[in-house]
Amino acid sequence: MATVRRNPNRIKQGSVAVDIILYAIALVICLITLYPFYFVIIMSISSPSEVAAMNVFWFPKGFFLGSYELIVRDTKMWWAYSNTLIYVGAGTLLNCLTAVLGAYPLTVRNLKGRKWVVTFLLIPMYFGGGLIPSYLLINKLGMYNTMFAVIIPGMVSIWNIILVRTFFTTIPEGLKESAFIDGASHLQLLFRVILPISKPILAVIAIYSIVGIWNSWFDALVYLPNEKLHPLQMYLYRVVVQQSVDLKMLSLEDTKNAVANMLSNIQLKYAIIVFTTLPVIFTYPFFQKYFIKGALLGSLKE
Amino acid sequence: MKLWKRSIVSAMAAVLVLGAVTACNSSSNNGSSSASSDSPKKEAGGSDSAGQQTAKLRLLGPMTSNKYIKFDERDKYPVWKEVDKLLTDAGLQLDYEMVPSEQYKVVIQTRMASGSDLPDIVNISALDNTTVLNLAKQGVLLDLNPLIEKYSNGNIKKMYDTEFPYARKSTTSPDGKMYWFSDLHKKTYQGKDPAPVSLTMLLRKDWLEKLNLQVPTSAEEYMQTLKAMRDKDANGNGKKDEVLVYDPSNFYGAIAQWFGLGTEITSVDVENKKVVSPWYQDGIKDYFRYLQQLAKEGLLDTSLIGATGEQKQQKMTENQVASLSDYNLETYQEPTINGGGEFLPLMPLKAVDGITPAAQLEPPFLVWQKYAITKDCKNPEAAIKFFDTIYSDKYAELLYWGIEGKTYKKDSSGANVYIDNGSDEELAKSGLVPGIKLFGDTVFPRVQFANLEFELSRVPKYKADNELNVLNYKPYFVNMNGNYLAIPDDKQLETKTKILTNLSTYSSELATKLALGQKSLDNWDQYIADLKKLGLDQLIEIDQQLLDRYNSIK
Repeated sequence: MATVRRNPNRIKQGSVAVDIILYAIALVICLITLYPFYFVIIMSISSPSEVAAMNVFWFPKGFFLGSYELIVRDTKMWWAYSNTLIYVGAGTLLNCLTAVLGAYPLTVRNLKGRKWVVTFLLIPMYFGGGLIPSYLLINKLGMYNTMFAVIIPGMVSIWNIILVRTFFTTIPEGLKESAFIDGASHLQLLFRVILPISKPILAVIAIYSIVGIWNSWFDALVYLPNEKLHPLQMYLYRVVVQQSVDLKMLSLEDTKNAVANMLSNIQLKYAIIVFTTLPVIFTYPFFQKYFIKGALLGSLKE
Repeated sequence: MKLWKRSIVSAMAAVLVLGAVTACNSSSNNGSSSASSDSPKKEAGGSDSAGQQTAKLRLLGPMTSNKYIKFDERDKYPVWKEVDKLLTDAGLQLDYEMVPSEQYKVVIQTRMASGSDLPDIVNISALDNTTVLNLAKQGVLLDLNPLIEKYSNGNIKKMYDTEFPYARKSTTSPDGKMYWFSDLHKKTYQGKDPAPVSLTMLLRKDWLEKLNLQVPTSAEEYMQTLKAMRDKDANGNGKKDEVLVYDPSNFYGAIAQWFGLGTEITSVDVENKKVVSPWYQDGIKDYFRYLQQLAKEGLLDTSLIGATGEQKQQKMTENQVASLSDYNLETYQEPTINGGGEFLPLMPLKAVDGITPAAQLEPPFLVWQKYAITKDCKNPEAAIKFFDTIYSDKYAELLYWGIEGKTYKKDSSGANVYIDNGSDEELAKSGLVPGIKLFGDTVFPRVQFANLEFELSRVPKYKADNELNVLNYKPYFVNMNGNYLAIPDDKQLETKTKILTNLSTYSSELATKLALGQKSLDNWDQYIADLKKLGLDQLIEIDQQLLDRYNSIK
């Protein structure tokens, strides 16, 4: 051992101490990231009085599943759940479709004005029309208070188009040319040659859309006054917002009601967060490798 | 061929998804919030089976957020049947659009700003005065006075001019017009005397008794009592953690009034018809000296300054709150204390020689919320009929008290008192609710004839005694100063907003730092100079103008 240590040419293996420190740092970061999740979970199953007193830190205190019972029995929650599934399903499908259809022409070399279109696409990526004009548009199109108000405006994502376009440009030109020589049209080329080898990018777009739509609530807040159309996150928003009332501005009677409402909601909030977040957390591991690919795509521009 | 197959399959999949979406959408649209009160829809001017003229109105308002008692299920409640009868008798057929209350503000902002396809009657309480007056200027909201003159059967006038003479003062715009109806509330005692409740310092009564302490009669004694509660470990947990929960950043805490101070940067002295600022009042320096002492002794819990309701609730639940500022008749704090407890409301305590301690009162007359008629209303006569129905004695009774024998009864003195029919969950089953629980705060204005008798009947005697003592107590300041100010015009509002942005921040920071001793009282002149520079004097002047105009409106 001693001789090894003296050898000046040995390949350095790194010291155990540094490893330990690195692992420790990684562990701390893991804990910091995971603790909020853990906290929400233990708050949701502790007894309500301990939750109201904010006494729960490391382990659940008492055991109470009443909040979950309340949620599971709430038909509104199940409505919201099914709505979210519809929004996610339709939104993801349409997103993939528009991204592919939008990206392909932009990779065709001899398309006139291609560069101009690409530049033009960047403008709406950074600038929006604002809330009221968007509202007017949605309203005039007759989509206000219908599911379309949430699905249609979100079905084209320029970011996705650019991602797909970048991926398409990495496909060797020779492959396309040989398809043309065999007599393929553009449609045939896209659907029979390019799409089969583009599954990774489609997976990336799908997971981006799923996560994005699953977590979105603002469109519903503005365009869907009918609570039967609300997605799950809007349901969560309502429960969380409901209790933050400024007690100072209420009269005696109203204060009484508001306080009662606030107390009954403290725990419910945590249970709902668990309920609404779990599904999307569980999809992550399955798509993880594609996520990394998606992140790499941006750096692989030619 | 394969390509064909594939494209057909994918096209079919797309159609399927879209089809599902449309189907869901249309089915849920029919069955939900925008439900008509009657199933057959009639055009305005049509007639119902009795041959009477019916008029259709579209109403937009927030849904109540009660988990059990829902507006959608109104038909099963006896009180709704009565209200529905009133509306039918008036020849009205109503079409409600109820939006979840958490979402209402955003919805109403976008809908009103877009100005198209508006309902006939709309609850616009979520909009601030500037926005509302702008909408009025654009003609989106109708001026109500000519409509009342032309169509009303006199109910509206009776309520606004006789029963609630304050209502016009608070709802008349600077241009002399009236753009919205309001919730009207008054609380009386023995049928006639206005009965304000007070906001005061509450002190743990059970701790006083446990430690054999006297009820404090001066500010100094109050401090000694707090000290004794802490040092003798009143909650018995072995720690000296019994504290006063008090927010020194504003003047809403009732201790400020012991020193004769108003409740806000500009406060209305109702009796003397004057606007004052606590920063200019005599007791101000003594007040901060007193708070500094409380903070220095560790009695004032400084960790809770600027804390959320939940954080304060935590202290309460953990049985550590010796004293706090709240309603004298509150009964909602005690049940949340682990192990139980009682809060005794204190009368205003003498703090400085030469200054009579003031009380802080909630005005016995309240005017709030806004319900407007929009420009898209095709039948203003029907809209006025709706409000005539609302401002009737029968509706007021149904709304606030409900049905005699079912939700309320008369006590020996002839005053109304509620019958306790249990929790909201039980109420939803039995249907025995007053209207307010079912449709208050939606698009139905509240008209409330409250009385003190009922309030007193449900609190312990020591709280009731405090209320009877404070009933005619003078001097006093009110907790809702805005209730005594007329609506500002554009210029006044703009100036006020501009001043308040910086002034309130400076004022609350200064007050907090002075209370905690982080700033010295020696530099007082400098602070006053800063406040003046930020426009304090101008603010007082504007509010004085508003108060004068308020008092001049007949």
